[in-house]
Amino acid sequence: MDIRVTSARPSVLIDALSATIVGQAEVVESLVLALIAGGHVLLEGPPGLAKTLACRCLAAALEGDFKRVQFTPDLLPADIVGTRIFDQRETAFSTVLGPIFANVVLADEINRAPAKVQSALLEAMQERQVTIGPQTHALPDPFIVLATMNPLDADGTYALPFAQLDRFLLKVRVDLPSHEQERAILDRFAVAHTEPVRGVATLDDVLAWRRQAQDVHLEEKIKAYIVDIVMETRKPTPYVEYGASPRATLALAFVARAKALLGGRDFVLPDDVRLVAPLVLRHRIGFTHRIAVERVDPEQIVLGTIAAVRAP
Amino acid sequence: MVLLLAATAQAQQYQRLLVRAFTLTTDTARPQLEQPFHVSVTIRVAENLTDITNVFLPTFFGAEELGDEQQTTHGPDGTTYRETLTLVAHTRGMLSISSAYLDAVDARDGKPKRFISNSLRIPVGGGPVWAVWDALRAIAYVVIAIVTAGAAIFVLAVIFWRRRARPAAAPAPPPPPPLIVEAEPDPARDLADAFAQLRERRDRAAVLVLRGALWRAAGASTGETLGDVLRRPAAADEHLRRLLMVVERAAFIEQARLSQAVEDVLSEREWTFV
Repeated sequence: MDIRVTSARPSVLIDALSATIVGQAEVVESLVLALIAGGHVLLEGPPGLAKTLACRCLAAALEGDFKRVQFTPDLLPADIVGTRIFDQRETAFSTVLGPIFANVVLADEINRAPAKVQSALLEAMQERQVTIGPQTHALPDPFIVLATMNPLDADGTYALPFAQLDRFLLKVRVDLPSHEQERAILDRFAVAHTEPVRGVATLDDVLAWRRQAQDVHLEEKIKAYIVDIVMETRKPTPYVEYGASPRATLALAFVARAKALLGGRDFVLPDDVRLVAPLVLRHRIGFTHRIAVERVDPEQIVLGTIAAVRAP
Repeated sequence: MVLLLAATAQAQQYQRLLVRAFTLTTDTARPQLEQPFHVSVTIRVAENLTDITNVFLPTFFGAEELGDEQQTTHGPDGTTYRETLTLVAHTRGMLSISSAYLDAVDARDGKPKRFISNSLRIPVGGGPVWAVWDALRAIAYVVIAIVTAGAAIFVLAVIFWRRRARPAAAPAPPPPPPLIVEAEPDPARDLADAFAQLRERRDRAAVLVLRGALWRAAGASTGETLGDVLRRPAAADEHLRRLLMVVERAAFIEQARLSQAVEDVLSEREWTFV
């Protein structure tokens, strides 16, 4: 395909992450897409699938700050955003910033913390600033939150409300590796500790990619295609209770632009939209109880909804 | 059923009652001549009382009272007073029994009132001979009803049969189908035409026409994406693949750079079926 080469190449991040992580191509690409589009990612999958490693590798490749927060039921909002401590020597309050002040923040098992902690994190994600006492602190830029959820172990968890799920730009399903990938993991990690690739891009590169992504052309037919897909999710069916919000329309456009840029193009193709649509929509559609009763895979409903719309 | 009418009375002599029901009933809708029957006055009040006073029994003409029995019962919802008169009618025809009265202070508003029950009008049948006549008349009524219903069913059946027997109007012959001569699909000619159109017009619409022709040439239908088309076996030809890509670019690139994208398409060697 004819490629208009951009000044920076976000695909170097994919190469860097793939050098460490075996398989998980969708996870790796989703992280880079969210980084370019300026959104946050929800990773859903069982433990041991390199979710944390992928996040750590992303931070290393950018040479950015990386912080990991293990969410537990006794976590407090101050444990994330920071707090004010009285310094007796100075007889004044000083602010201790929390782990959210990093370029890449891994919120591990986000659904294990109660609602007020989730809310504090998600507000910071939305506003990109945190208020501690009388002072408001801007979060670093770029800032990306990668939250994980374990779908197998639901006991003692606090499900994220629909409004908060909507704050995540993408939701990625992390699947188990294939036989060959499992063998490659054994070869790569069983013998020695593998260091992630560092410094293939800078934080300024990320900001430049974001500006380029905003300039990626979205043809009228592509815009109509995006709207058609979102409207299709709102059609009442026995399995769908409510469809995606207008925020999903905007998200689909952002991520499709990022996908085009990642492909080295400055215009969006229908393929870009269709490939990223499951990532954008799967957590934004509300399903009825029949999904659980009839043991229907919601992913099939999402894919069917997208496939029902004719590409331009 | 209770009929309540206010009436002036001497309040100090009356019981204070919350009257819930005051009815006059009979145990037969059609008493027979010289045969005893019963008429009951029933009063239900909310209070618990041993007796209810100031009850005025109904009056009647053409019947004789044979007996009078009073009964007072108590329950959780108050007192029920029932006075049963045993009567015998001496004349045939309609027997009118007037309302019964009860004078009491209404517990609802503390005012003395006269409560009035319903009245009765009951037909009195006549003796053994008349009973035979009544039975015959009842049988006649049944026979008349059966005959009337049979006649109605017969009339409806005749109407229905006549409607069905009427010959239906012959349907108009369908118009002859329009003569459509479909042109044989010719992908090679479509492609050539699309290329020619693009060379001539060099606009987005012409690009989309060429894109559609290439889609069909690769065996794809509208609604598929470039990724779908490239996965088709018919798109294995390297030249076709490259052409599909440059046409896709021209289809979705911004308007300012469309002319260059069209030039890129036209600079590709025109692809034809081998």
